[in-house]
Amino acid sequence: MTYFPEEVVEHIFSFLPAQRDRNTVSLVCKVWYEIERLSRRSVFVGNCYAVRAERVALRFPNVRALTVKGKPHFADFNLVPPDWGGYAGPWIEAAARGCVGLEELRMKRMVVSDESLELLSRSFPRFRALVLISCEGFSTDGLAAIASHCKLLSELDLQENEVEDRGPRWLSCFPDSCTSLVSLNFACIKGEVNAGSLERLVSRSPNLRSLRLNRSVSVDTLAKILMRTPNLEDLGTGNLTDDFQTESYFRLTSALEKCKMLRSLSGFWDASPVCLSFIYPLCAQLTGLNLSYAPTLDASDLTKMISRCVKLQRLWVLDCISDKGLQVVASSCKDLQELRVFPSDFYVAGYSAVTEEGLVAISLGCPKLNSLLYFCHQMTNAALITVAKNCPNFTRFRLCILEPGKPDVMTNQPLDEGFGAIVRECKGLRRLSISGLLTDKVFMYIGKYAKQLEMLSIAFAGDSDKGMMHVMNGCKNLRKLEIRDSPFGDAALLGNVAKYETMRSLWMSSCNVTLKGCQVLASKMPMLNIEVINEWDGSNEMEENHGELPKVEKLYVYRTTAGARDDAPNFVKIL
Amino acid sequence: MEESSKKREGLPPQLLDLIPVEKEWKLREALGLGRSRNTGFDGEEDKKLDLKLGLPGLIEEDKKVTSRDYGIQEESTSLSLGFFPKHSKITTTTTTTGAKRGFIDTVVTKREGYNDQKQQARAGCGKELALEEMIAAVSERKKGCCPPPPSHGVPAIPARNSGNRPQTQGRGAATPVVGWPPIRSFRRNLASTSSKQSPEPRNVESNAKATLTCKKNPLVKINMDGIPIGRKIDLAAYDSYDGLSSAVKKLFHGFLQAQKDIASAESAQQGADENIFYQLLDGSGEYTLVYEDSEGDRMLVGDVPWNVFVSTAKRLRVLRSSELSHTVIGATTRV
Repeated sequence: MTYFPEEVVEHIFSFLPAQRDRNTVSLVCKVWYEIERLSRRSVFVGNCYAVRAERVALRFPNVRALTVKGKPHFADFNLVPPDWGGYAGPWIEAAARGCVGLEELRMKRMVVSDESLELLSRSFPRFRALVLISCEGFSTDGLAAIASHCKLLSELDLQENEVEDRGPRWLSCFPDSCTSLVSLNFACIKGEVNAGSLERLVSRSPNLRSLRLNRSVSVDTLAKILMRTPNLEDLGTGNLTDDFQTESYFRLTSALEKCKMLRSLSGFWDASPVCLSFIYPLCAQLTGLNLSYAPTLDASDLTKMISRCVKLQRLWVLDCISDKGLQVVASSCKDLQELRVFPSDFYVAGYSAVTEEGLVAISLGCPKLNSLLYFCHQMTNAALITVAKNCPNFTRFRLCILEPGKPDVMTNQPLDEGFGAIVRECKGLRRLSISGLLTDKVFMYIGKYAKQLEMLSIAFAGDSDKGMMHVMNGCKNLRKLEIRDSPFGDAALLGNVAKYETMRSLWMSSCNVTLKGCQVLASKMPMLNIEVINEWDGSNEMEENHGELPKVEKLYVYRTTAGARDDAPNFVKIL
Repeated sequence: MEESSKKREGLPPQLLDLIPVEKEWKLREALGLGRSRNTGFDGEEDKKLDLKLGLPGLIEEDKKVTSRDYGIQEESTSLSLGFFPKHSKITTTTTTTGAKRGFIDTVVTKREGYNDQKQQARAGCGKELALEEMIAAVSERKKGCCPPPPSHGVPAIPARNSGNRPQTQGRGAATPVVGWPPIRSFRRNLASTSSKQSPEPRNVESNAKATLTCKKNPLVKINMDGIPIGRKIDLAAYDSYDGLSSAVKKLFHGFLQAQKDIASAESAQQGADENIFYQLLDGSGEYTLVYEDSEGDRMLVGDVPWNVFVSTAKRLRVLRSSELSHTVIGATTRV
C-alpha cells in the first residue's frame, strides 16, 4: 500500500475507528504510523500514568476527543488515600500546547482543579463536550469558567463528582448566546441553582436531549422546565417531594404528555409516592429507570411504577424493592438487560429485603439480562447455578454479599460452585466481582473458564497463592485485577511476571505481599511501576517487631512507558 | 447551662465526660438525626478533629466513654467465635491472635460504634447476635491475612478528609471495614441526608411513609356558607372524592337541619338536605365544594387526582353554587 497517496491511506484508516485497530496499523511501518497518528481523532488513555501527557499530545496533534482515567477503581471505596495522584492538570496543559483542535474531554477518577478548568475553557476554541466522572478537586467556580468561555458547548456531563459548592453563580454564566446545549447533567452539584437562570437556559436550548437536575430543583421548577423540552430523551428530576403548587401538577402532566421521546428517567430525590403517579403515563415508553436515590419509596410504590415499564432495559433500584418486587420486575420487564440493586442498609449483619430468590426470579423472567450488580445478605450455590443456566449472556456479573466470607446460606458450603457455574455458562463474561465464602477452587474455575474476562474484583476470598495463580495463568484477556483482604503473597505476585505487561493494572490491599516481593518484581520488570502505598509509616515497624517481613498494605502495579511518576506523595514508594 | 457546656468544651475528649461535647450535639442536630447517629457519615469529620494522635488504646478510651452514653457494656464486646459457621477458615494462628491487641481492640471499638447505631435502630434487640456475627465476620477476614494496619478501622469518610491520622484509629463507624461494602460515599450519605430516612433498617419504608403523612398533616379547615362555625376534617381518612363528599354531608347535616327546622316542614326538609349535598362536586347542585391550595388560590374540588388533592389542599369550602363565578378560579385554565 505504499504506492497509495497518503490521503487514500488515511481514508482507509477512517474506517477503523476502534483504537485497538488503529494502534495495530500504526505498527506496520513508519509511513503508516505517521499517517495514522496525524489522522487520529480519538484517543483513550486507560491509565494516566501509563504514558506521558506530552507524548500523547505530540503524537496525536489533531486529536478531537480525549479520554483519560486516573485512580484505580478501589478509589471509589476510599481505599486509595487522598493526594495519591491522578491529576488532570498535566493533560489539559499538554493538550492546550499541542492539540488546539480538541473538542471533547472525558475524565474519570481524576483530580481536576479550577485552574485546569479555566485553562480548558480558554484553550480550545472548538471545545464542545466535557464529561467528568467520579472526579474531585474543583468547585462551581471552575464550572463557571466552562460555562462562560466555551462558546460551542453542547455537553456538560458531571457524574458523581465531588464538587465544592461556591454558590449558584455558575449556571448563570452561560451567556445568552449559548444555545447549543444538548446534554446538561449537574445532578452531583450539592448546592442550589437559580431557578430563573435554569429556566432561561433551557428555554434557549432547543437541542436539549438530556437534562439531569440536582436535588435542589423543586417540582415547581421542573414543571416549568419540562414545558420547554418536548424533545427530551433523558431526564433526571430534582426532588420530588409532595410540596408543590397545584399548578405544577397540571404543568407537569401536560408537559410529560408531550415528551414522546423520553426514554430514560433518574433523580427521584426524596420522592413522594404522590409524585410517582405523574410519571405513570410515561412508563410504557421508558427503557431506562434509576430509582436508586429514592429511599423514601417502598416496595409497593416501586412495583406499581415498574410494572408499567414494559419496555425497560436498564433498572437501578434500592433493595427496598424486595424479592417480591423483583418478581414483579421479572414478569413485567421482559427486555431487561441491566439490573443494579443497591443496599439501603449497609450494616454487615443487617437486613435486606432481597435475597437469592429475587435474583433467581429475575433470571427466570429476563433472559436477556447481561449486566448485573446485586447487593444482598445471602446467596446459595443453587441459586447461582440456576441464574447461570437462565442467563448465559452475562457480560458483567457483580455480586456483593454484604457479610465478608459468608457461605451458602442453606448448605454452609463455599460459593465456589455457584460462581463456577457463572463463568462456565457465561462465555462472554468480561467483568466479574465475587464475594461470600470462597476457596481456591473458585479461582480454578475462573482461570479455566473465564477466557474473555477483562476485569476481576476479589475481596475476602481464597486460601493460598494458588488461587491468584489460577487467575494469572488462565485468564488470557485479563486487564484489571483488584484484590483486597485475601491471602495471596509473594509467590502469587511473582508467579507470572510477564502477565503484567499484558494488563493495565493490579491492585492488592491487605494481602500477604511483602516489600521484598515487590522489590523482586520491580527488578524483573522494569516496564512496570510498582507503587507501594503505606499510609502508616509505623506499621512496618510493628510487623518487624514480631519477626515477620514487612507486609505491604496497598500495592498498585501498572505497565507504563513513562517511568516512575514525579507527582507521587511521600506515602507512595515507587520501586 | 451555657457555662457548663463551655466548661465541657475545654476538656480533652479522653477524660470521663459522659455527656457528649456541645459540638457533637450540634452536629447531630444539624444533621437532624438526634441521637441516632453519633458515628454517622458526615459527623465523623468534626469528631475526628477533637481526637489526639496516639496509640490505639488512648483513642479507644474515648470511644468507650461515648459508647457508655448508650448503655453499652464493655464486657459484652468480648470476642466470641461461637456463632461462626463451621466452614470458617479461621485458624487462630499466632499471627492473628498475637495481634495485636491493637487490632482486636480496634475491632471492639468498632463494635461499640457500630452498636450505637444498631442499638438505637433496633432498641437493643439482636445486639449480641449482631456483635458476634460482626466479630466473626471480621475475624474470618483475618484468616491468613496479615494483621491489618489501623487504616482498616476507617469508616466511610470521603477520601479527601482521611489525611487525619486519628481517622485510622478504629473509630466506630457505619461500617467496620474500610471501603466495605463497596458503595460510593454519595450513596452512603444518601441515607443520612434524606430527611425522611429513619435509622431503623427494617421499617425504613414504613417510617418514611409515616413521616410523610405526619409532615403533611391533612387536617384541613372546612367552612360552609351560611354556617358560622367551621369544622376540621382529616383528608387522609378518605380515599376518594366520593368519600369526602359523604363526610362533608355528614359533617354539616346537623347544622343545616337545625337551621331548616325553623323554616320548613319535615318531609320537604329531608329532601332538601339530600339535594343540598347532591352534586357537591360537579357544581350542578345547590352547593359546590372548593378548596384552597398553598398559594391561596381557590379551586374546584375534583379536578386533580385524589392523592394530589390531599397533598395540595390546605382549606376547604362549601360554597353556594350561585356564588361560584365570583370567587373561584378555574384550575383547568392554567398552562
